[in-house]
Amino acid sequence: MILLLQQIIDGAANGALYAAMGVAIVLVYRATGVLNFAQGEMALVSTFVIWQISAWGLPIYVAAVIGIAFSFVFGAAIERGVMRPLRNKPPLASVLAALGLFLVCNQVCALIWPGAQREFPALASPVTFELAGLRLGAETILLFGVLAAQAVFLWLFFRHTTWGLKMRAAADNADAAVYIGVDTGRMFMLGWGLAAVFGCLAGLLVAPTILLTTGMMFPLLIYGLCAATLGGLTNPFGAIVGGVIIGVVENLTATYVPAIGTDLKIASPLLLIFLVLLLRPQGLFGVKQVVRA
Amino acid sequence: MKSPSKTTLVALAVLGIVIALAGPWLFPQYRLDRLTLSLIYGVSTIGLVILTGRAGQLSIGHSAFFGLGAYAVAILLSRELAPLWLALPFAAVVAGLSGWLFGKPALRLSGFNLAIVTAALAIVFPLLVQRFTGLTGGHAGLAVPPQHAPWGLALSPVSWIYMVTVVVTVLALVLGWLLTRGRLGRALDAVRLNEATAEANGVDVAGYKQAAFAISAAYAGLGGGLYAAAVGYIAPEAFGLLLNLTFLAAMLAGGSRYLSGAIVGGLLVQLVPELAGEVSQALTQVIFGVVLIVVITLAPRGLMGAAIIDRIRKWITGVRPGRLAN
Repeated sequence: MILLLQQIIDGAANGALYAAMGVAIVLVYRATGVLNFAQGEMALVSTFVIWQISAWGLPIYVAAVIGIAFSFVFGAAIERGVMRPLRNKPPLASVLAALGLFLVCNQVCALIWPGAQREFPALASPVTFELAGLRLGAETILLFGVLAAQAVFLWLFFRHTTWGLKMRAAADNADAAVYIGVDTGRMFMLGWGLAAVFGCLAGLLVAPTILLTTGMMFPLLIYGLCAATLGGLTNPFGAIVGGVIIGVVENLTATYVPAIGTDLKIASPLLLIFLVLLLRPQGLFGVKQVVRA
Repeated sequence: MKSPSKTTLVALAVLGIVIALAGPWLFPQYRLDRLTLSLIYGVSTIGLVILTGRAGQLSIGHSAFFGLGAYAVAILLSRELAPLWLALPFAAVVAGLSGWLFGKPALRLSGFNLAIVTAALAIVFPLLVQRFTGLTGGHAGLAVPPQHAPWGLALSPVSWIYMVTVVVTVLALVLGWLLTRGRLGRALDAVRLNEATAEANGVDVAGYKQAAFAISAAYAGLGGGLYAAAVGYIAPEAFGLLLNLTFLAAMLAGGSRYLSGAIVGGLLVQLVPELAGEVSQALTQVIFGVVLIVVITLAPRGLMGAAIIDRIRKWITGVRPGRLAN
C-alpha cells in the first residue's frame, strides 16, 4: 500500500514535467494550429542559456528567471520571424519549418556548448522528508509546487486577464477577433512566447535529474505530445491533468506489470492514449468539434 | 491518337530513367550508395504523399512499416528463404497488411490525434523488435548478405542494388500514378478537402482512408526492404521515431501533393546534409535545417509545387496545370 502510494506520488511529480511540455504544445497548437516538433529543442536552447548564466557565477534561481525571460523573447521571435510568413499557407508548411528549427536549435546548442554532457545545478537541496512511511524529497515537493503554479497561472491568465481573453478570441477565430480589435499577430507571438516559457520550465526541471545533453528534450517532447493529446488539444488545463495521469500510469505499470518492464515503460501511456482517444476522440477535457459540410 | 505533349513527357521520362541507370558509370561508388538511400527514402515517401498529401491523414509512424519491410527482407535473405525479387514484394505485402489492420482502429482519429497514435506505433516498434531476439537478432541486429549482380554482369553489389532501386522507384511511381489518377485519387481528394461532404456524396470515407493507409504502409515496407538489402545490416535503432521526421521532411519539401515530389524530397533530405557535411562537418544540421525553412518559405507547397515547376510543366505539356485549394 505504501509502495503504491509512493509510486503514485513519484509518478505525479514526474507528471509536472510532462504537463509543462504538454501545455507548451497546446498553447502553440491552439494559437496557431502548428504541431511544433521544435518545442523541445527550443527549450533546450533556453536550458543551456540558464546553465551558462549559472556557470558564470549567478545563483541558479536568478539564472532561471533570466533564462525564462529569454525563452519568452526567443519563442515570440520565432513566431514573428519563421512562422508568421507561413500563416495562410498549407498547414503542413509550418510543420516542416518546425522540423528545420528542430535541427538548427539542436546543433546550435551542440556548437556553442560542445562536449557530451554537463552537470546542471540542483534546484532543491537533497533533503528527504518522511511522512507516514512515505519518502518525499525536496525535489518532489518542488515539482508539485511547479505543477500547482502552472495550473494557477493558466487559470488566472486565461480567465482573469484581458490578454488571456484576447488570446482565446484569437485562437478561436482569428478572422472574427480582428473585427473586435484584437491584434491577432501580437496574440500569436504571445502564445509562442508563453509556450516557450513552459517548455523552458520543463527543460529546467528535467536537467538536474538527468545530465544536461543535447538529446535530453526529445523524449520529453514525446511525453508532452502525449499529455497534450490525452488532455485534449483545445484545453491547456487538460494537458496538466494529462501529464499527471501519464506520469502515474507510467510509473505504476513499470512497477506492477513485469511483462512491461522499464524498456517498454513508455508503451503503457501510449496504449492508454489510444484507448482514450477511441472512446473520446476529443481527449479527456477537449471540446468536441462539430463538423459542417 | 497521342497528343504531342504526352510523347514529350514519355520521352523525358525515358531519358530520365536512362540517365539514372547510367549512375554506376557517372558517380563514384560512395556517392552511388547515397543515391540509393535517397531513392529508398523517396519510395517510402510516395506512400506518405498518397496518405497525407492526397487523403490528408498525417502519420508519423511509418518507420514501423519501413522497419517491418526491412526485417522481412533481412530474414528472408539471410536465411536464404527467398531471392530479392520475391522478398521485396513480400515486404510490401506484409507491411501493407499490417497497415490495413492498424489503420482500422487508428483512422477513427484524424489530424493531431492520428499523428500521436502513429507516433506511438513508431516508438513501440523498435522495443518490440528487441523482444523477438530469435527472429530479429534483437539489439545486435541482423546482417544481410550482399546482393551480387546476376547473369554474370560486371557490377559491384553497390551498383547492382542501385540499379534495382532505380527500377523499383520507377515501378513505384508508375503504380502510384495508376492508383491515384482515377476513382481512388478523386475519393482521397474529397476526403482531404471535406470529410462530411465526401461522406454525404457517397464516398466511403473510412474505407478509403484505410485503403490509403494500407497502400502507404506497403510503400514504406517496400522502401524498408530495399534499405535492408542496400545497407546490409539492420538494427532496431534505425527504425525509431526520428526516421518519420525524415520522411515527413522529404514529403513536405518535395511537395506533398506530387508523387514526383517524394523522390525530389528523398534526394533533398539525403543529399543536402551530406553535401553540407562536406562544406562543414559541424554545421551539417544547421545548414540542413535552414535549407528546409528557406525551401518551405519560398515554396510553401513544396519544390514540385513551386511556381517555376508549374511553368516548366506548361512549357512541356502546353497545358497550364490546375491549382487545387488546400
